Amino acid sequence: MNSIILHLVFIILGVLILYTLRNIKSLYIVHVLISFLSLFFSINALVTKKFLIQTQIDVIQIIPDLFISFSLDGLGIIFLITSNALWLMTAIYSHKYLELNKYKNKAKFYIFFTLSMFATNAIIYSSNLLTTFIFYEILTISTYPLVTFKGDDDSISSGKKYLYYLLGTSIIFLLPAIIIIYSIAGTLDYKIGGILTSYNNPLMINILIILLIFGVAKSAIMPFHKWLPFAMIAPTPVSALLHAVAVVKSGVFIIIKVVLYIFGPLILQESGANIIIILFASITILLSSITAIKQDSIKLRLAYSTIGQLSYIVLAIAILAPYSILAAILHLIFHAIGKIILFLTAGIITTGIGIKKVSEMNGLASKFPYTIFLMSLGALIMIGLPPTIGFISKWYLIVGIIESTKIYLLAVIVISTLLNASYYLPMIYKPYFKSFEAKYNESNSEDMCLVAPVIIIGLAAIILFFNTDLIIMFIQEYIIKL
Amino acid sequence: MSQLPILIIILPLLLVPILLLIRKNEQVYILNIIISFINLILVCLLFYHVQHSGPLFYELGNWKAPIGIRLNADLLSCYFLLLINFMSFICLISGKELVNRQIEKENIYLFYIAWLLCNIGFSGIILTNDIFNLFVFLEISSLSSYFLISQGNYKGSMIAAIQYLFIGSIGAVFILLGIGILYVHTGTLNMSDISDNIINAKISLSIIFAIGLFFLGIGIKSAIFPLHGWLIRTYAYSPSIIVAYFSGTSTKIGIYILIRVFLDILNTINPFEYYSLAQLILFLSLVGVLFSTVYAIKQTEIKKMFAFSSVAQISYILIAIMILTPEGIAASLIHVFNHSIIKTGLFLIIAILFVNNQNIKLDDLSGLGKNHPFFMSAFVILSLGLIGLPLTSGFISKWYIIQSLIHSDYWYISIVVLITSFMTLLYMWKIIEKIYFSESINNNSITILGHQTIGVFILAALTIYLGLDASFTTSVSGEIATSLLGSEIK
Amino acid sequence: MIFILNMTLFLIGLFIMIRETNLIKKVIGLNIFQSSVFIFYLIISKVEDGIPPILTTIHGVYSNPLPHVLILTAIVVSIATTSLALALIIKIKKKYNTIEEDELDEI
Repeated sequence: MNSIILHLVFIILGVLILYTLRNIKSLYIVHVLISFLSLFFSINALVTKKFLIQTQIDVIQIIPDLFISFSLDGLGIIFLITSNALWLMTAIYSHKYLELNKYKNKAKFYIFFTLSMFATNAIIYSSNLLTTFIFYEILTISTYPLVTFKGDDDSISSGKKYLYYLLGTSIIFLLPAIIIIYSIAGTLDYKIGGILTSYNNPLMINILIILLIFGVAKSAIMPFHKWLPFAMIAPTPVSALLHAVAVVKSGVFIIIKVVLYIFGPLILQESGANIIIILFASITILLSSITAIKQDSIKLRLAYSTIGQLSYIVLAIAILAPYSILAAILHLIFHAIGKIILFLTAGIITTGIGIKKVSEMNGLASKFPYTIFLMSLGALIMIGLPPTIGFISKWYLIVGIIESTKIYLLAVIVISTLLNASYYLPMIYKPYFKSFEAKYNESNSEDMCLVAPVIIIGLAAIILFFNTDLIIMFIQEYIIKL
Repeated sequence: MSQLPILIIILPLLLVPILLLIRKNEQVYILNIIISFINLILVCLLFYHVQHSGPLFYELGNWKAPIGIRLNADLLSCYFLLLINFMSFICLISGKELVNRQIEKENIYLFYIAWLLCNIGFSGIILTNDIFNLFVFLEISSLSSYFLISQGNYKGSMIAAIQYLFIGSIGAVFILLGIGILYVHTGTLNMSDISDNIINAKISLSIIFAIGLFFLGIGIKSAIFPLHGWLIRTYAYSPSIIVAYFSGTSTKIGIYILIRVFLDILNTINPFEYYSLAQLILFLSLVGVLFSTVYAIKQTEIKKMFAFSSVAQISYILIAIMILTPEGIAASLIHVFNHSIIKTGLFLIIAILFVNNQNIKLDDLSGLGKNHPFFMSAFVILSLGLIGLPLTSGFISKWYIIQSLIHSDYWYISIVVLITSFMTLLYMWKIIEKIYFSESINNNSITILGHQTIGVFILAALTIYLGLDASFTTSVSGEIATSLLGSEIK
Repeated sequence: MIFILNMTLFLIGLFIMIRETNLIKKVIGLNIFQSSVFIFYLIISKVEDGIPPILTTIHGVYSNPLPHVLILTAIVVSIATTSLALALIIKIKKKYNTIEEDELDEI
């Protein structure tokens, strides 16, 4: 059987195994194993160059001439390895996290977590828009029980709004866009250069682009970004993996694929539709950064930061310069790494000492040395300072902007970087340079089981900084010529 | 094989007097199940035959048409026949407990007989090729349904029955008058003959009047907005199993009559051109979708919520028909099938859970997710189908409806359809939230017997199956649409 | 001319059904309403210069017997409907002690 199908079937089997074994005490081992094997599949696909073959496997014919079909290309393999590797780390982290925070119903957590990752992997493997749409919806539904995991009234009402935002935008905007594209192009397959190339109605292209960026609300472009702050009510591992890596990156991944492989750079530039994307992305970057400054809750601040960072990626893609596309793909990886470090460390602090607000973070460095160090690393990545990987992707974004002669966008980058710094720096200097106010209850100090996975991710970030050229070579060879 | 059309009607009809003599409820039930099952098999055989060899005609008493009454089994008929008989069978096998608990003991055997007669009426409407025969079978099914509705043990059952009787009879008389006017112009009662002769008829005011009468009669039967009032009341006060049965069948019969009369018989005179009838119905349905969806969201009583939802879905079907393209007709036929399955499933679940409750408030459903996890998962699947999420049959119908709208001149209507689809999420999700997230109040007393749930699970499984492999519904609907409107579709 | 009278009967029946609140009167209205349609069929069956369709000596033009047959069927249906309606009304009266629609609506 083809390895793509094998991979996906394996994850589904994992869900079933998790369900049957739901009452055993050490269920987390099964979860970690599943994520490990999923990572194994991804690395296997890289090593054996499966992504070169690019064969399409048609699974089921849903509508006449439209199949659920899968294939793997260079862009997909990058995201595949990133998300599965981070899944493994989060799996290890979530065991101790659930235990220390005394969550019940762990089986439900693991089952829906695995199901969400199944949907994410399926989105990566999708080779046409219909398959993408189907698994996009499945992803929304499978993350819902995780968002409402705590079960209290707040969680339920936030979860409801989360669902309404995501399902509503996909039904009202994305579905008609897909149907229109199907009527115009006669197919929904992703093809290099796009499938709408011979279509010359710029108004329709613009409309489709608008429908698209509103429809894929998972990429958190304003005004349909609100679901992300609502989703922060979930337990931290959920916020970390799903809402920093899997869900939001799926949204951006879909936008990248649609821009490159459905519309194609040529027709977007001709019709000027990419200007619309640039407009919305820039507004989102600036507004989200301003909103982030006002947030005192750590998770909400990180959420608004995510919204802004995602729009960096979307902006980069919309500029359609080779270096900016490179920047987009690099930032896909680097932001995921940085953000997950931030969320996981925030979870360690909350678990250890109950602090959820930035204003209360004074002097924590003495109590949580490793955690705060890693958190600072994450913050530096987000701001984009050297020597972090965040700097590299920002650099290429600037190169791309200059290359595209849209110099005015440099203003957006500079202003937003300054704004980012102004809300991230407190998270660095408060723990280090202010003194600790001893009115908190330290029930669990820095638990190494929680810190270890984050250390691994941090090491990966540092190693990546010195080996970015490998990734760039890979991208150059398989995705886009620079 | 050529006897199949008449057998489907006669076989149950012969059973009726036998059942009248057997007064034992158990035996009546078993015989009813057996005959339904045999009927279902006959229908499948007929469907298979018609799909491969073309339409089948059967002349009653060997009197050649147009003198005699002829039965016509073409693809459109077989499609609806399959749907109606399948729904009847599913409701029968799920309904035993419900009937025993809700209907008075002395009346149960009469109840099953009336059910059988209703089904015979529906099958007759679908199979007949004689327009007056259509009226007769329509009345047979209507009379049985008046009786069935009155058997509910709710306070308003009999009142709902008599109100439905009055409205239904008005509709039937409209149709009768319309038939008369058509007869005056064409001199024949045979449907194929009428469609041949109507071109020669002088288009006068009376033909337009007849079209209007037909439309009013069909509108009453199908509960088209704004003639939908009786539906809400009836669904609230009928016995629970009857609501499940009717939600999947009786309104769809109205749609069948609409398609048959307007698109088949009167096809050549383009009945929808007069006074822009198509546009009028289209915009009425548009208003209908909006209003009924809004009303559904405002409802606190579950059965009325589902009833308004049914009105909205019927309006979707009408919108798809009224754009008058083959794609639209195909989309509406697909949705007829899918919606029947979903709505009947939803009503069955409610019926099994709350047999005797008249007003099922939202709170009554709290906590059911913990008590009956499997059963409620069927509810979730059916709700997702109603909303139209991928992998369910509802998604397929939504896709086709939107696609046909976008291809026609009425693309802006798709915006309304999409927005109301989203609004469906709003009222269905309220229920799902209550089921899974609220503490159960006092429904530990709800027991579900295993055999009751078989029907529900079959319907939920079908929803998913038709969502994954829609080749049956799409191909048959496409064929029917092409044969009705005569041009190629995608 | 006669069609106009027929339509008047039609409208009277319909009007009674809608306007009256007493259930028995509604049934009467229903009967008038249905009868008007029956009369319509009878009207259309008469052929000018036609004799009743009984085979005697070869005449030539007979009136159309078909609508009469149709009406027989329809009358049967109408009787069934009326009897069902009356049965329901009796039961309603037994149960609620009223057959006025506005009082019934409050139940």
